[in-house]
Amino acid sequence: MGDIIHNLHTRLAEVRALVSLSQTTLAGKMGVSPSLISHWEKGTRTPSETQLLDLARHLGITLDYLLNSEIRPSFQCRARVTSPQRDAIDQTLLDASMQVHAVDTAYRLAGKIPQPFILRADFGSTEALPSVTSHLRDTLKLNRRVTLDELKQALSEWNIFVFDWAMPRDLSGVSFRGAFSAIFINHLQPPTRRLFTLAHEFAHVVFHLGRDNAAGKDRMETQVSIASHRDPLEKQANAFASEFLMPRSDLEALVAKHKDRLRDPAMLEAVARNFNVSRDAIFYRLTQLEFFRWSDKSAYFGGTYPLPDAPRVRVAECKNIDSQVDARFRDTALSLYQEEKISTGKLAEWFFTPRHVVEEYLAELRQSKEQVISDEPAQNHEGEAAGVA
Amino acid sequence: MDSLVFDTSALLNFGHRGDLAALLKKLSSEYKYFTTPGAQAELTDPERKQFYTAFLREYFTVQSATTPQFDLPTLARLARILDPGEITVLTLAREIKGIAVLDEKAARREAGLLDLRFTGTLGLLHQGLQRKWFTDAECLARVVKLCDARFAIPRPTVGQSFTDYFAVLK
Repeated sequence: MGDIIHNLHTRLAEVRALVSLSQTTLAGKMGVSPSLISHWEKGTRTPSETQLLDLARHLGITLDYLLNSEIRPSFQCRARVTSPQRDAIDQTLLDASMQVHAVDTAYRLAGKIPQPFILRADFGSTEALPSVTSHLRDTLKLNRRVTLDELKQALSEWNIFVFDWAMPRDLSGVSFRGAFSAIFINHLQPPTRRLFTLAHEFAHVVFHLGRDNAAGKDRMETQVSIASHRDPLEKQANAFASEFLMPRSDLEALVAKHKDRLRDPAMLEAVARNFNVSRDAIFYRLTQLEFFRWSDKSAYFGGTYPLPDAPRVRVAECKNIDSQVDARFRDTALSLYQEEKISTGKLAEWFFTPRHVVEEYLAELRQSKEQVISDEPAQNHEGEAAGVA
Repeated sequence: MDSLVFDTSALLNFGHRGDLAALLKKLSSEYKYFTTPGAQAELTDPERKQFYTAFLREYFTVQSATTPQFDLPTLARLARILDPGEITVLTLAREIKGIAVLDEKAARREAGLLDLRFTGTLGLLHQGLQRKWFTDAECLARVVKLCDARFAIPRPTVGQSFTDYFAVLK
Protein backbone atom coordinates (compact mmCIF):
# COMPACT_ATOMS: atom_id res chain seq x y z
CA MET A 1 0.00 0.00 0.00
CA GLY A 2 2.84 2.38 0.91
CA ASP A 3 4.36 2.17 -2.55
CA ILE A 4 1.02 2.80 -4.14
CA ILE A 5 0.50 5.99 -2.17
CA HIS A 6 4.10 7.01 -2.68
CA ASN A 7 3.47 6.77 -6.42
CA LEU A 8 0.31 8.88 -6.47
CA HIS A 9 2.14 11.62 -8.35
CA THR A 10 3.32 9.27 -11.12
CA ARG A 11 -0.11 7.64 -11.25
CA LEU A 12 -1.71 11.04 -11.69
CA ALA A 13 0.61 11.90 -14.58
CA GLU A 14 -0.03 8.48 -16.13
CA VAL A 15 -3.81 8.80 -16.01
CA ARG A 16 -3.73 12.40 -17.26
CA ALA A 17 -1.67 11.30 -20.26
CA LEU A 18 -4.09 8.41 -20.84
CA VAL A 19 -7.03 10.80 -21.19
CA SER A 20 -4.92 13.26 -23.21
CA LEU A 21 -5.48 16.25 -20.93
CA SER A 22 -2.76 18.87 -20.58
CA GLN A 23 -1.94 20.22 -17.13
CA THR A 24 -3.37 23.57 -18.21
CA THR A 25 -6.65 22.05 -19.44
CA LEU A 26 -7.08 19.96 -16.31
CA ALA A 27 -6.28 22.96 -14.13
CA GLY A 28 -8.85 25.01 -16.04
CA LYS A 29 -11.54 22.37 -15.51
CA MET A 30 -10.76 22.18 -11.78
CA GLY A 31 -10.39 25.92 -11.24
CA VAL A 32 -6.83 25.61 -9.89
CA SER A 33 -3.51 26.85 -11.24
CA PRO A 34 -1.50 24.68 -13.69
CA SER A 35 1.45 24.97 -11.31
CA LEU A 36 -0.58 23.20 -8.59
CA ILE A 37 -1.19 20.26 -10.96
CA SER A 38 2.53 20.26 -11.68
CA HIS A 39 3.30 20.17 -7.94
CA TRP A 40 0.94 17.22 -7.47
CA GLU A 41 2.61 15.33 -10.31
CA LYS A 42 6.08 16.06 -8.97
CA GLY A 43 5.00 14.95 -5.51
CA THR A 44 5.98 18.25 -3.92
CA ARG A 45 2.40 18.88 -2.78
CA THR A 46 -0.49 16.52 -2.02
CA PRO A 47 -4.14 17.14 -2.97
CA SER A 48 -6.86 17.13 -0.30
CA GLU A 49 -9.77 14.64 -0.34
CA THR A 50 -12.03 17.11 -2.11
CA GLN A 51 -9.32 17.90 -4.65
CA LEU A 52 -8.67 14.19 -5.22
CA LEU A 53 -12.35 13.50 -5.81
CA ASP A 54 -12.49 16.50 -8.11
CA LEU A 55 -9.41 15.23 -9.93
CA ALA A 56 -10.95 11.79 -10.36
CA ARG A 57 -14.19 13.32 -11.65
CA HIS A 58 -12.41 15.49 -14.22
CA LEU A 59 -10.20 12.61 -15.34
CA GLY A 60 -13.32 10.44 -15.72
CA ILE A 61 -12.12 7.81 -13.24
CA THR A 62 -12.89 6.60 -9.73
CA LEU A 63 -10.92 7.65 -6.68
CA ASP A 64 -10.13 3.99 -6.06
CA TYR A 65 -8.55 3.71 -9.50
CA LEU A 66 -6.52 6.86 -8.92
CA LEU A 67 -5.24 5.85 -5.48
CA ASN A 68 -4.90 2.07 -5.73
CA SER A 69 -3.09 1.26 -8.93
CA GLU A 70 -1.79 -2.30 -8.66
CA ILE A 71 -2.98 -3.27 -12.13
CA ARG A 72 -2.02 -0.91 -14.89
CA PRO A 73 -3.27 -1.90 -18.32
CA SER A 74 -1.17 -0.60 -21.15
CA PHE A 75 -3.18 0.82 -23.98
CA GLN A 76 -1.99 0.39 -27.50
CA CYS A 77 -4.73 1.59 -29.77
CA ARG A 78 -3.42 0.25 -33.05
CA ALA A 79 -5.80 2.03 -35.37
CA ARG A 80 -6.06 5.66 -36.34
CA VAL A 81 -9.39 6.94 -35.15
CA THR A 82 -10.76 10.22 -36.30
CA SER A 83 -12.58 12.65 -34.04
CA PRO A 84 -15.23 12.60 -32.53
CA GLN A 85 -14.97 8.79 -32.09
CA ARG A 86 -11.48 9.22 -30.68
CA ASP A 87 -12.70 10.84 -27.43
CA ALA A 88 -15.39 8.21 -26.88
CA ILE A 89 -12.95 5.38 -27.58
CA ASP A 90 -10.36 6.87 -25.22
CA GLN A 91 -13.02 7.07 -22.53
CA THR A 92 -14.06 3.48 -23.17
CA LEU A 93 -10.47 2.31 -22.80
CA LEU A 94 -10.28 4.16 -19.51
CA ASP A 95 -13.53 2.51 -18.43
CA ALA A 96 -12.14 -0.88 -19.41
CA SER A 97 -8.99 -0.15 -17.48
CA MET A 98 -11.07 0.77 -14.42
CA GLN A 99 -13.05 -2.45 -14.78
CA VAL A 100 -9.84 -4.48 -14.85
CA HIS A 101 -8.76 -2.62 -11.73
CA ALA A 102 -12.15 -3.32 -10.08
CA VAL A 103 -11.80 -7.05 -10.81
CA ASP A 104 -8.35 -7.04 -9.22
CA THR A 105 -9.57 -5.10 -6.16
CA ALA A 106 -12.62 -7.34 -5.70
CA TYR A 107 -10.51 -10.49 -5.81
CA ARG A 108 -7.95 -9.09 -3.37
CA LEU A 109 -10.71 -8.07 -0.95
CA ALA A 110 -12.17 -11.56 -1.27
CA GLY A 111 -8.75 -13.02 -0.42
CA LYS A 112 -8.42 -14.57 -3.87
CA ILE A 113 -6.10 -14.01 -6.77
CA PRO A 114 -7.55 -13.91 -10.29
CA GLN A 115 -5.97 -16.81 -12.12
CA PRO A 116 -4.03 -16.15 -15.33
CA PHE A 117 -5.20 -17.60 -18.62
CA ILE A 118 -2.58 -20.23 -19.36
CA LEU A 119 -3.13 -21.19 -23.00
CA ARG A 120 -0.87 -19.68 -25.59
CA ALA A 121 -0.31 -20.63 -29.22
CA ASP A 122 1.53 -19.45 -32.29
CA PHE A 123 -0.68 -18.44 -35.13
CA GLY A 124 1.49 -20.23 -37.66
CA SER A 125 0.17 -20.65 -41.17
CA THR A 126 -3.37 -20.35 -42.46
CA GLU A 127 -3.21 -24.02 -43.49
CA ALA A 128 -2.55 -25.05 -39.88
CA LEU A 129 -5.43 -22.93 -38.57
CA PRO A 130 -8.13 -25.65 -38.73
CA SER A 131 -6.13 -28.00 -36.51
CA VAL A 132 -5.14 -25.23 -34.03
CA THR A 133 -8.75 -24.07 -33.89
CA SER A 134 -10.05 -27.59 -33.46
CA HIS A 135 -7.60 -28.14 -30.59
CA LEU A 136 -8.69 -24.94 -28.84
CA ARG A 137 -12.37 -25.82 -29.35
CA ASP A 138 -11.77 -29.22 -27.77
CA THR A 139 -9.82 -27.66 -24.89
CA LEU A 140 -12.70 -25.29 -24.17
CA LYS A 141 -15.10 -28.27 -24.49
CA LEU A 142 -17.17 -26.52 -27.14
CA ASN A 143 -19.20 -28.00 -29.97
CA ARG A 144 -18.62 -27.01 -33.56
CA ARG A 145 -21.67 -24.74 -33.31
CA VAL A 146 -21.22 -22.19 -30.55
CA THR A 147 -23.62 -19.60 -29.10
CA LEU A 148 -22.55 -16.33 -27.48
CA ASP A 149 -23.54 -17.52 -24.01
CA GLU A 150 -21.70 -20.81 -24.44
CA LEU A 151 -18.49 -19.06 -25.47
CA LYS A 152 -18.81 -16.54 -22.62
CA GLN A 153 -19.27 -19.40 -20.17
CA ALA A 154 -16.37 -21.41 -21.59
CA LEU A 155 -13.99 -18.43 -21.49
CA SER A 156 -15.11 -17.61 -17.98
CA GLU A 157 -14.27 -21.18 -16.91
CA TRP A 158 -10.82 -20.67 -18.43
CA ASN A 159 -10.28 -17.51 -16.36
CA ILE A 160 -11.07 -14.92 -19.00
CA PHE A 161 -13.45 -12.26 -17.68
CA VAL A 162 -15.99 -11.22 -20.31
CA PHE A 163 -17.87 -7.91 -20.16
CA ASP A 164 -20.64 -7.09 -22.61
CA TRP A 165 -20.70 -3.28 -22.61
CA ALA A 166 -22.25 -0.48 -24.58
CA MET A 167 -19.30 1.01 -26.44
CA PRO A 168 -18.75 3.51 -29.28
CA ARG A 169 -19.94 2.15 -32.60
CA ASP A 170 -16.48 1.80 -34.18
CA LEU A 171 -15.10 -0.16 -31.27
CA SER A 172 -15.88 -3.87 -31.55
CA GLY A 173 -13.82 -5.22 -28.69
CA VAL A 174 -10.93 -4.80 -26.28
CA SER A 175 -8.82 -7.57 -24.79
CA PHE A 176 -6.32 -7.74 -21.93
CA ARG A 177 -3.76 -10.30 -21.00
CA GLY A 178 -1.47 -10.03 -17.99
CA ALA A 179 -1.96 -11.11 -14.39
CA PHE A 180 -5.38 -12.20 -15.61
CA SER A 181 -7.31 -11.80 -18.86
CA ALA A 182 -10.40 -9.86 -19.78
CA ILE A 183 -12.39 -9.26 -22.95
CA PHE A 184 -14.89 -6.47 -23.60
CA ILE A 185 -17.39 -6.74 -26.45
CA ASN A 186 -19.82 -4.13 -27.75
CA HIS A 187 -23.32 -4.78 -26.40
CA LEU A 188 -24.79 -2.39 -28.97
CA GLN A 189 -23.96 -4.83 -31.75
CA PRO A 190 -26.20 -7.81 -32.62
CA PRO A 191 -25.50 -11.13 -30.83
CA THR A 192 -24.08 -12.69 -33.99
CA ARG A 193 -21.52 -9.94 -34.35
CA ARG A 194 -20.72 -9.99 -30.62
CA LEU A 195 -20.03 -13.73 -30.89
CA PHE A 196 -17.65 -13.10 -33.78
CA THR A 197 -15.96 -10.28 -31.81
CA LEU A 198 -15.60 -12.51 -28.75
CA ALA A 199 -13.91 -15.22 -30.84
CA HIS A 200 -11.75 -12.52 -32.48
CA GLU A 201 -10.63 -11.07 -29.11
CA PHE A 202 -10.02 -14.59 -27.82
CA ALA A 203 -7.59 -15.00 -30.72
CA HIS A 204 -5.70 -11.89 -29.59
CA VAL A 205 -5.46 -13.32 -26.07
CA VAL A 206 -4.21 -16.69 -27.32
CA PHE A 207 -1.92 -15.60 -30.16
CA HIS A 208 -0.85 -12.01 -29.62
CA LEU A 209 -1.05 -10.55 -26.11
CA GLY A 210 1.37 -10.79 -23.19
CA ARG A 211 4.36 -11.71 -25.29
CA ASP A 212 6.67 -8.86 -24.41
CA ASN A 213 8.25 -8.28 -21.05
CA ALA A 214 6.02 -5.34 -20.19
CA ALA A 215 3.06 -7.63 -19.64
CA GLY A 216 3.48 -9.42 -16.39
CA LYS A 217 2.53 -9.28 -12.81
CA ASP A 218 1.39 -5.68 -12.68
CA ARG A 219 1.12 -4.72 -16.31
CA MET A 220 -1.68 -5.76 -18.63
CA GLU A 221 -1.13 -5.67 -22.34
CA THR A 222 -4.09 -4.54 -24.35
CA GLN A 223 -5.41 -5.07 -27.83
CA VAL A 224 -8.06 -2.69 -29.11
CA SER A 225 -10.08 -3.75 -32.14
CA ILE A 226 -11.45 -0.97 -34.24
CA ALA A 227 -13.82 -1.73 -37.11
CA SER A 228 -12.34 -1.90 -40.60
CA HIS A 229 -8.65 -1.48 -40.08
CA ARG A 230 -5.90 -3.35 -41.81
CA ASP A 231 -3.59 -4.49 -39.07
CA PRO A 232 -2.11 -7.96 -39.77
CA LEU A 233 -2.91 -9.10 -36.23
CA GLU A 234 -6.52 -8.10 -36.79
CA LYS A 235 -6.54 -10.19 -39.96
CA GLN A 236 -5.17 -13.17 -38.06
CA ALA A 237 -7.81 -12.72 -35.37
CA ASN A 238 -10.53 -12.53 -38.02
CA ALA A 239 -9.23 -15.67 -39.71
CA PHE A 240 -9.25 -17.51 -36.37
CA ALA A 241 -12.78 -16.32 -35.49
CA SER A 242 -14.01 -17.43 -38.93
CA GLU A 243 -12.52 -20.90 -38.59
CA PHE A 244 -13.60 -21.15 -34.95
CA LEU A 245 -17.25 -20.36 -35.68
CA MET A 246 -17.53 -21.57 -39.27
CA PRO A 247 -15.13 -24.51 -39.71
CA ARG A 248 -13.87 -24.71 -43.28
CA SER A 249 -14.61 -28.41 -43.59
CA ASP A 250 -18.25 -27.90 -42.48
CA LEU A 251 -18.76 -25.17 -45.03
CA GLU A 252 -17.14 -27.18 -47.79
CA ALA A 253 -19.54 -30.01 -47.00
CA LEU A 254 -22.46 -27.58 -47.17
CA VAL A 255 -21.31 -26.21 -50.51
CA ALA A 256 -20.91 -29.74 -51.88
CA LYS A 257 -24.38 -30.67 -50.66
CA HIS A 258 -26.41 -27.57 -51.61
CA LYS A 259 -24.33 -26.07 -54.43
CA ASP A 260 -26.06 -23.09 -56.08
CA ARG A 261 -29.04 -23.26 -53.72
CA LEU A 262 -26.74 -21.49 -51.22
CA ARG A 263 -26.97 -18.41 -53.44
CA ASP A 264 -30.62 -17.96 -52.45
CA PRO A 265 -30.62 -15.13 -49.81
CA ALA A 266 -33.08 -17.10 -47.64
CA MET A 267 -30.79 -20.14 -47.74
CA LEU A 268 -27.78 -17.96 -46.90
CA GLU A 269 -29.71 -16.55 -43.95
CA ALA A 270 -30.53 -20.07 -42.75
CA VAL A 271 -26.87 -21.11 -42.98
CA ALA A 272 -25.84 -17.98 -41.05
CA ARG A 273 -28.37 -18.82 -38.32
CA ASN A 274 -27.07 -22.37 -38.20
CA PHE A 275 -23.56 -21.11 -37.42
CA ASN A 276 -24.82 -18.29 -35.13
CA VAL A 277 -23.11 -15.68 -37.26
CA SER A 278 -24.31 -12.77 -39.37
CA ARG A 279 -25.05 -12.98 -43.09
CA ASP A 280 -21.99 -10.76 -43.61
CA ALA A 281 -19.77 -13.25 -41.84
CA ILE A 282 -21.04 -16.28 -43.74
CA PHE A 283 -20.80 -14.35 -47.00
CA TYR A 284 -17.16 -13.40 -46.35
CA ARG A 285 -16.36 -16.95 -45.30
CA LEU A 286 -17.90 -18.37 -48.49
CA THR A 287 -16.02 -15.75 -50.47
CA GLN A 288 -12.78 -17.02 -48.92
CA LEU A 289 -13.80 -20.46 -50.17
CA GLU A 290 -14.33 -18.88 -53.62
CA PHE A 291 -18.01 -19.77 -53.64
CA PHE A 292 -18.92 -16.08 -53.87
CA ARG A 293 -17.04 -13.21 -55.45
CA TRP A 294 -16.63 -9.88 -53.63
CA SER A 295 -18.64 -8.25 -56.39
CA ASP A 296 -21.66 -10.40 -55.41
CA LYS A 297 -21.96 -8.51 -52.13
CA SER A 298 -24.35 -5.82 -53.37
CA ALA A 299 -26.86 -8.51 -54.30
CA TYR A 300 -27.06 -9.63 -50.68
CA PHE A 301 -26.45 -6.60 -48.51
CA GLY A 302 -27.93 -3.16 -48.52
CA GLY A 303 -26.15 -1.38 -45.69
CA THR A 304 -24.56 -1.52 -42.28
CA TYR A 305 -25.92 -2.23 -38.82
CA PRO A 306 -27.85 0.73 -37.44
CA LEU A 307 -25.97 1.10 -34.15
CA PRO A 308 -26.97 3.70 -31.60
CA ASP A 309 -24.20 5.95 -30.32
CA ALA A 310 -22.98 5.19 -26.83
CA PRO A 311 -22.96 7.98 -24.25
CA ARG A 312 -19.65 9.84 -24.13
CA VAL A 313 -18.63 9.58 -20.49
CA ARG A 314 -18.56 6.30 -18.58
CA VAL A 315 -19.79 4.68 -21.74
CA ALA A 316 -20.03 1.32 -20.08
CA GLU A 317 -23.28 1.86 -18.25
CA CYS A 318 -24.85 -1.55 -17.71
CA LYS A 319 -28.58 -1.91 -17.30
CA ASN A 320 -28.68 -5.70 -17.22
CA ILE A 321 -26.21 -6.90 -14.62
CA ASP A 322 -26.71 -10.61 -15.28
CA SER A 323 -26.00 -10.47 -18.99
CA GLN A 324 -23.45 -7.66 -19.15
CA VAL A 325 -21.19 -8.18 -16.14
CA ASP A 326 -18.85 -11.19 -16.09
CA ALA A 327 -20.54 -13.87 -13.97
CA ARG A 328 -17.53 -14.77 -11.83
CA PHE A 329 -16.70 -11.14 -11.08
CA ARG A 330 -20.38 -10.43 -10.36
CA ASP A 331 -20.58 -13.32 -7.87
CA THR A 332 -17.32 -12.31 -6.17
CA ALA A 333 -18.52 -8.72 -5.84
CA LEU A 334 -21.95 -9.80 -4.56
CA SER A 335 -20.29 -12.05 -1.96
CA LEU A 336 -18.25 -9.09 -0.74
CA TYR A 337 -21.44 -7.04 -0.52
CA GLN A 338 -23.27 -9.78 1.36
CA GLU A 339 -20.34 -10.09 3.76
CA GLU A 340 -20.70 -6.31 4.26
CA LYS A 341 -17.15 -5.68 3.07
CA ILE A 342 -18.26 -3.17 0.44
CA SER A 343 -21.22 -0.81 0.13
CA THR A 344 -24.08 -0.69 -2.38
CA GLY A 345 -22.53 2.37 -3.98
CA LYS A 346 -19.24 0.51 -4.46
CA LEU A 347 -21.09 -2.33 -6.14
CA ALA A 348 -22.71 0.20 -8.50
CA GLU A 349 -19.29 1.67 -9.24
CA TRP A 350 -17.78 -1.75 -10.00
CA PHE A 351 -20.72 -2.81 -12.18
CA PHE A 352 -20.75 0.52 -14.05
CA THR A 353 -24.42 0.65 -13.15
CA PRO A 354 -26.57 3.47 -11.74
CA ARG A 355 -27.20 3.01 -8.03
CA HIS A 356 -30.98 2.67 -8.37
CA VAL A 357 -30.48 -0.19 -10.88
CA VAL A 358 -28.19 -2.02 -8.43
CA GLU A 359 -30.69 -1.48 -5.60
CA GLU A 360 -33.48 -2.97 -7.73
CA TYR A 361 -31.23 -5.89 -8.63
CA LEU A 362 -30.28 -6.55 -4.99
CA ALA A 363 -33.92 -6.35 -3.93
CA GLU A 364 -34.89 -8.91 -6.57
CA LEU A 365 -32.06 -11.18 -5.44
CA ARG A 366 -33.28 -10.98 -1.83
CA GLN A 367 -36.84 -11.64 -2.96
CA SER A 368 -35.88 -14.68 -5.01
CA LYS A 369 -33.81 -16.06 -2.11
CA GLU A 370 -36.75 -15.61 0.27
CA GLN A 371 -38.95 -17.33 -2.30
CA VAL A 372 -36.56 -20.28 -2.52
CA ILE A 373 -36.49 -20.58 1.28
CA SER A 374 -40.29 -20.47 1.54
CA ASP A 375 -40.65 -23.00 -1.30
CA GLU A 376 -38.24 -25.51 0.26
CA PRO A 377 -40.02 -28.56 1.70
CA ALA A 378 -39.83 -29.06 5.45
CA GLN A 379 -36.82 -31.09 6.59
CA ASN A 380 -37.75 -34.65 7.30
CA HIS A 381 -34.56 -36.28 8.49
CA GLU A 382 -34.61 -39.05 11.04
CA GLY A 383 -36.18 -37.90 14.28
CA GLU A 384 -36.54 -34.31 13.12
CA ALA A 385 -39.53 -32.35 11.88
CA ALA A 386 -41.82 -35.30 11.26
CA GLY A 387 -41.11 -36.85 14.66
CA VAL A 388 -41.72 -33.62 16.50
CA ALA A 389 -44.99 -33.07 14.63
CA MET B 1 -26.69 22.57 17.65
CA ASP B 2 -25.30 19.27 16.37
CA SER B 3 -25.00 18.44 12.67
CA LEU B 4 -26.17 15.32 10.86
CA VAL B 5 -24.38 14.45 7.61
CA PHE B 6 -26.56 12.17 5.48
CA ASP B 7 -25.28 9.52 3.11
CA THR B 8 -27.26 8.45 0.02
CA SER B 9 -28.99 5.45 1.66
CA ALA B 10 -30.23 7.63 4.51
CA LEU B 11 -31.41 10.28 2.05
CA LEU B 12 -33.36 7.60 0.19
CA ASN B 13 -34.82 6.25 3.44
CA PHE B 14 -35.93 9.65 4.67
CA GLY B 15 -37.08 10.46 1.14
CA HIS B 16 -39.27 8.23 -1.00
CA ARG B 17 -38.64 4.92 0.77
CA GLY B 18 -39.71 5.78 4.30
CA ASP B 19 -41.44 9.13 3.77
CA LEU B 20 -39.83 10.40 6.97
CA ALA B 21 -39.95 14.14 6.27
CA ALA B 22 -42.10 14.60 9.40
CA LEU B 23 -39.25 13.21 11.51
CA LEU B 24 -36.80 15.54 9.80
CA LYS B 25 -39.05 18.49 10.68
CA LYS B 26 -39.25 17.41 14.32
CA LEU B 27 -35.51 16.76 14.62
CA SER B 28 -34.63 20.09 13.01
CA SER B 29 -34.96 21.72 16.41
CA GLU B 30 -31.94 19.69 17.52
CA TYR B 31 -29.87 19.18 14.38
CA LYS B 32 -28.73 20.92 11.23
CA TYR B 33 -28.81 18.66 8.18
CA PHE B 34 -26.01 18.31 5.68
CA THR B 35 -25.19 16.12 2.75
CA THR B 36 -22.42 16.23 0.14
CA PRO B 37 -22.32 16.65 -3.64
CA GLY B 38 -20.90 13.11 -3.78
CA ALA B 39 -23.94 11.65 -1.99
CA GLN B 40 -26.29 13.81 -4.04
CA ALA B 41 -24.73 12.50 -7.27
CA GLU B 42 -25.84 8.98 -6.38
CA LEU B 43 -29.52 9.92 -6.46
CA THR B 44 -29.60 8.54 -9.97
CA ASP B 45 -33.21 7.48 -10.49
CA PRO B 46 -34.51 9.79 -13.25
CA GLU B 47 -38.10 9.27 -12.09
CA ARG B 48 -37.30 10.76 -8.68
CA LYS B 49 -34.95 13.53 -9.74
CA GLN B 50 -37.45 16.34 -9.17
CA PHE B 51 -38.54 14.93 -5.83
CA TYR B 52 -34.99 14.82 -4.49
CA THR B 53 -34.10 18.25 -5.85
CA ALA B 54 -36.99 19.70 -3.83
CA PHE B 55 -36.29 17.43 -0.83
CA LEU B 56 -32.64 18.49 -0.58
CA ARG B 57 -33.50 22.14 -1.11
CA GLU B 58 -36.05 22.09 1.72
CA TYR B 59 -34.04 20.32 4.39
CA PHE B 60 -30.34 20.08 3.57
CA THR B 61 -27.21 22.11 3.08
CA VAL B 62 -25.13 20.41 0.37
CA GLN B 63 -21.42 21.05 0.88
CA SER B 64 -17.97 19.47 0.74
CA ALA B 65 -15.22 19.47 3.32
CA THR B 66 -12.78 22.27 2.70
CA THR B 67 -9.68 20.94 4.47
CA PRO B 68 -7.91 17.53 4.32
CA GLN B 69 -9.20 15.15 7.00
CA PHE B 70 -7.57 11.80 6.26
CA ASP B 71 -4.08 10.78 5.25
CA LEU B 72 -3.62 9.15 1.84
CA PRO B 73 -3.28 5.53 3.08
CA THR B 74 -6.60 5.91 4.93
CA LEU B 75 -8.21 7.47 1.90
CA ALA B 76 -6.87 4.69 -0.33
CA ARG B 77 -8.41 2.10 2.02
CA LEU B 78 -11.75 3.91 2.04
CA ALA B 79 -11.69 4.22 -1.76
CA ARG B 80 -11.38 0.46 -2.09
CA ILE B 81 -14.59 -0.34 -0.24
CA LEU B 82 -16.77 2.77 -0.21
CA ASP B 83 -18.20 4.97 -2.93
CA PRO B 84 -17.42 8.69 -3.27
CA GLY B 85 -20.67 9.66 -1.51
CA GLU B 86 -19.76 7.75 1.64
CA ILE B 87 -16.17 9.01 1.60
CA THR B 88 -17.28 12.64 1.32
CA VAL B 89 -19.83 12.13 4.11
CA LEU B 90 -17.13 10.76 6.42
CA THR B 91 -14.81 13.63 5.46
CA LEU B 92 -17.43 16.33 6.04
CA ALA B 93 -18.61 14.72 9.29
CA ARG B 94 -15.06 14.85 10.58
CA GLU B 95 -14.50 18.44 9.46
CA ILE B 96 -17.68 19.87 11.01
CA LYS B 97 -17.53 17.42 13.96
CA GLY B 98 -20.98 16.20 12.99
CA ILE B 99 -22.71 12.82 13.15
CA ALA B 100 -22.62 10.74 9.96
CA VAL B 101 -26.00 9.22 9.07
CA LEU B 102 -25.05 5.92 7.43
CA ASP B 103 -27.23 2.91 6.62
CA GLU B 104 -24.55 0.84 4.89
CA LYS B 105 -22.75 -1.53 7.24
CA ALA B 106 -19.41 -1.19 5.44
CA ALA B 107 -19.58 2.58 5.87
CA ARG B 108 -20.66 2.33 9.53
CA ARG B 109 -17.73 0.01 10.24
CA GLU B 110 -15.27 2.47 8.69
CA ALA B 111 -16.85 5.37 10.61
CA GLY B 112 -16.26 3.38 13.81
CA LEU B 113 -12.64 2.70 12.88
CA LEU B 114 -12.15 6.42 12.25
CA ASP B 115 -13.67 7.31 15.65
CA LEU B 116 -16.48 9.24 14.02
CA ARG B 117 -19.91 9.56 15.57
CA PHE B 118 -22.56 7.90 13.44
CA THR B 119 -26.18 6.84 13.46
CA GLY B 120 -28.68 5.53 10.89
CA THR B 121 -32.29 5.86 9.84
CA LEU B 122 -33.52 3.46 12.52
CA GLY B 123 -31.43 5.24 15.17
CA LEU B 124 -33.10 8.54 14.34
CA LEU B 125 -36.50 6.85 14.28
CA HIS B 126 -35.70 5.52 17.75
CA GLN B 127 -34.92 9.07 18.88
CA GLY B 128 -38.37 10.05 17.62
CA LEU B 129 -39.87 7.29 19.76
CA GLN B 130 -37.87 8.30 22.84
CA ARG B 131 -39.07 11.87 22.47
CA LYS B 132 -42.64 10.55 22.10
CA TRP B 133 -43.08 12.16 18.69
CA PHE B 134 -44.13 8.77 17.38
CA THR B 135 -45.75 5.75 18.95
CA ASP B 136 -44.08 2.36 18.81
CA ALA B 137 -46.70 1.23 16.27
CA GLU B 138 -46.02 4.25 14.06
CA CYS B 139 -42.28 3.53 14.13
CA LEU B 140 -42.96 -0.10 13.28
CA ALA B 141 -45.19 0.98 10.38
CA ARG B 142 -42.27 3.06 9.05
CA VAL B 143 -39.97 0.04 9.23
CA VAL B 144 -42.50 -2.04 7.30
CA LYS B 145 -42.74 0.78 4.75
CA LEU B 146 -38.94 0.76 4.38
CA CYS B 147 -39.01 -3.02 3.92
CA ASP B 148 -41.74 -2.69 1.30
CA ALA B 149 -39.64 -0.06 -0.46
CA ARG B 150 -36.87 -2.66 -0.66
CA PHE B 151 -34.51 -1.24 1.96
CA ALA B 152 -32.36 -4.19 3.03
CA ILE B 153 -33.37 -4.65 6.66
CA PRO B 154 -35.06 -7.64 8.29
CA ARG B 155 -38.85 -7.49 8.25
CA PRO B 156 -40.33 -7.25 11.80
CA THR B 157 -41.93 -10.47 12.99
CA VAL B 158 -45.62 -10.65 13.87
CA GLY B 159 -46.29 -9.15 17.29
CA GLN B 160 -42.81 -7.62 17.60
CA SER B 161 -42.61 -4.05 18.96
CA PHE B 162 -40.32 -1.44 17.41
CA THR B 163 -38.40 -1.27 20.69
CA ASP B 164 -37.70 -5.00 20.58
CA TYR B 165 -36.95 -4.88 16.86
CA PHE B 166 -34.47 -2.02 17.32
CA ALA B 167 -32.81 -3.72 20.31
CA VAL B 168 -32.25 -6.90 18.30
CA LEU B 169 -30.82 -5.01 15.32
CA LYS B 170 -28.59 -2.88 17.51
